[in-house]
Amino acid sequence: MSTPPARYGARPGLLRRLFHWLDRRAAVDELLRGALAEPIPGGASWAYIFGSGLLFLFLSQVITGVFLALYYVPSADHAHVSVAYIVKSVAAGSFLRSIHAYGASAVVIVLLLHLTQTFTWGAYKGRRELLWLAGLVLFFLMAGMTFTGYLLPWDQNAYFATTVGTNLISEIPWIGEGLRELLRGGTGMGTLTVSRFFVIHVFFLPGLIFFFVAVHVYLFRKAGAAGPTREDPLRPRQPVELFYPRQLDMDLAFTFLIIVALGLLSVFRPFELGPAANPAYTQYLPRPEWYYRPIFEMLKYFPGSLEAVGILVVPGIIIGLLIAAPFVDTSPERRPWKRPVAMGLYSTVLLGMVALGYLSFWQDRHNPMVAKQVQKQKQEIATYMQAPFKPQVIGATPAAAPSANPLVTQGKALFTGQGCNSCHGDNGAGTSLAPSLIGVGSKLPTDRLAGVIRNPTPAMTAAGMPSFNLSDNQMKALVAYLDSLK
Amino acid sequence: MDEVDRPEDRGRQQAAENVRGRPELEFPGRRSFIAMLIAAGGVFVGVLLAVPLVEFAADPLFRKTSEEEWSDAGALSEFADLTQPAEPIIKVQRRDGWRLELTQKPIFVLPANVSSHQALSSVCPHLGCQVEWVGNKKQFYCPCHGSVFGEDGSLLAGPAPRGLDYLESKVEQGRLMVKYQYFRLLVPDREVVG
Repeated sequence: MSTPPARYGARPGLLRRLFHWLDRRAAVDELLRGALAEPIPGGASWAYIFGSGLLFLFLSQVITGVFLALYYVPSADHAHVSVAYIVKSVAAGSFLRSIHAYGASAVVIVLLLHLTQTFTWGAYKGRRELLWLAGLVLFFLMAGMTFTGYLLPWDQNAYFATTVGTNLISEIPWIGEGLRELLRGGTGMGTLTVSRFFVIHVFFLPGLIFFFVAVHVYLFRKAGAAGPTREDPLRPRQPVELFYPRQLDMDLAFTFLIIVALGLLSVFRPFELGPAANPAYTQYLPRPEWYYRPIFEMLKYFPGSLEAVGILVVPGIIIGLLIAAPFVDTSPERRPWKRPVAMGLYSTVLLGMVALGYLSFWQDRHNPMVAKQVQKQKQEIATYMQAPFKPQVIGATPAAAPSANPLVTQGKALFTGQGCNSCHGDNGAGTSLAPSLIGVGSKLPTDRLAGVIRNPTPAMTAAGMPSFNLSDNQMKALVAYLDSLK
Repeated sequence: MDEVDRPEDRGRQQAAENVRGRPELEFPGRRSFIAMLIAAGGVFVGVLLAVPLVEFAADPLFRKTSEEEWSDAGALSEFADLTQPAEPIIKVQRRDGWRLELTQKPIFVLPANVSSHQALSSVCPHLGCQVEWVGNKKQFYCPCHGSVFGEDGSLLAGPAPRGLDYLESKVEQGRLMVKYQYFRLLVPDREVVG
């Protein structure tokens, strides 16, 4: 419809004239019409809302991600402190980061719903192979996004979970080791790993996702909506309803629900940031995000040389089946109860994943050793979150006003002489290997400080703290020096 | 293969064509109530989401560029019996986003009764060189362009547009605290630039 004739004598409103002006130049009306007049056989349905939900979530991730990059720095030295700055210091920082981090989980949930709906409705049938494959590609790209994004805050869990995750890649025969090194930018995890994951997360994968979303939507519009399961995939007979307005309303209602859920979650349970990655914390029990728990759990049942089976063969079969579905399952039958093999396989895999994921959480709770460590880690995260933001100190720590206390001078010499500074940093400023000792004097009484230097606690020993057998005078000097660190 | 256009494929096209033919599938006008509702809802949600984004991006605007920090110049007793300016090096902190920059700056602390101000910046107000104290002449001298300042920092000679800038100072628990600042160069009046 071109602009409707204005009532005789009445001058159309400003908005209308503006739209008309724009429309004559940019054909906005036609564009909207093209986008919204998509025929849906059998009419609008709540079953079809997930695709739009995903599109919205992806845009939300892009927008929040771009804003987070205003402050984030992808390097091992600065990643954690810059995220801590976002979370603890920048206005609305914790909120936006939470929307982004929870958004990743939301993507996984809605993606699974979208996949399950499409599969159950048999909507991959009827010359929709490419549409289906483009969707699967998007699924794997999103999995890549969650994996790479998880490392970027460079906190304890990010570091250790990604160490394990990249180790798994090395199980791939022939190229595994090389692939892991390529991904990490070296044999171990380090600053190049952060850069690489950042570039993959922010440039490579989003670029591919934009492309494949376009392909997916184009192929969808080309093939047309599949409609209800009783509908013939090639010759739809059901009366059609246009996407606009009812389906659009449903899609928007779902999107609105997602926004509200993410918003409430982010306000009332902000996504946490753990303490900075400390590779020496060998007791640390890394746990992947909940959606990787099934794979994590499955690997427990493939010990040693069989591990490659768990990592490659089982997921390989599942992926292979998903890819093959539209090529193998070619009958026009779409009603799920008439497709026992396809539905049986799909629900077995899905239920298996749910069961494995549940089992993983259950075991963590019921193994006392694990439960204790997991609890401890939770406590460490909580403590870290409560602490105020500590900026990263740059530049020479100024020579403390020349101390009147010769013990302090002697203690400083011991601090360097005994190699304390190689882990705790010059002037006790802390490194990635060991915590800062600044202010330690106010945390521990003098005799306790001397005690843990002589006999470190098991946790300290495990983290790599040696015991130092100093003479009483030396110890007095060292403790005096530590006390002076403020 | 099924790539040949089969007669039944026309069913799809027919279905799409039916859309235009059937009055109940007429594309609703822009003025429909639902469309208005969607537009209003969209604007509302958009604004709601834009607020934290703007706050987040504009965060640096609402922070002081350099937090007002007082630096410790030393115990007041150290400066009690000065006969000529002392040159303590103070540590200056500057917050830069998530960084805390620590730098060391030399300043002058004047003997009592020389001036109403106790601390002077050692930065020449001409072009920012470091001035020196010349003890036997009781003058500050700038090695770059030869400006000369009296023992209270007042301008005696040279291209500098004004005397040495004083630094705000106060005494806290027996220690002399100084607020280190930079001043605009080449102007006749002292003007803080950060």
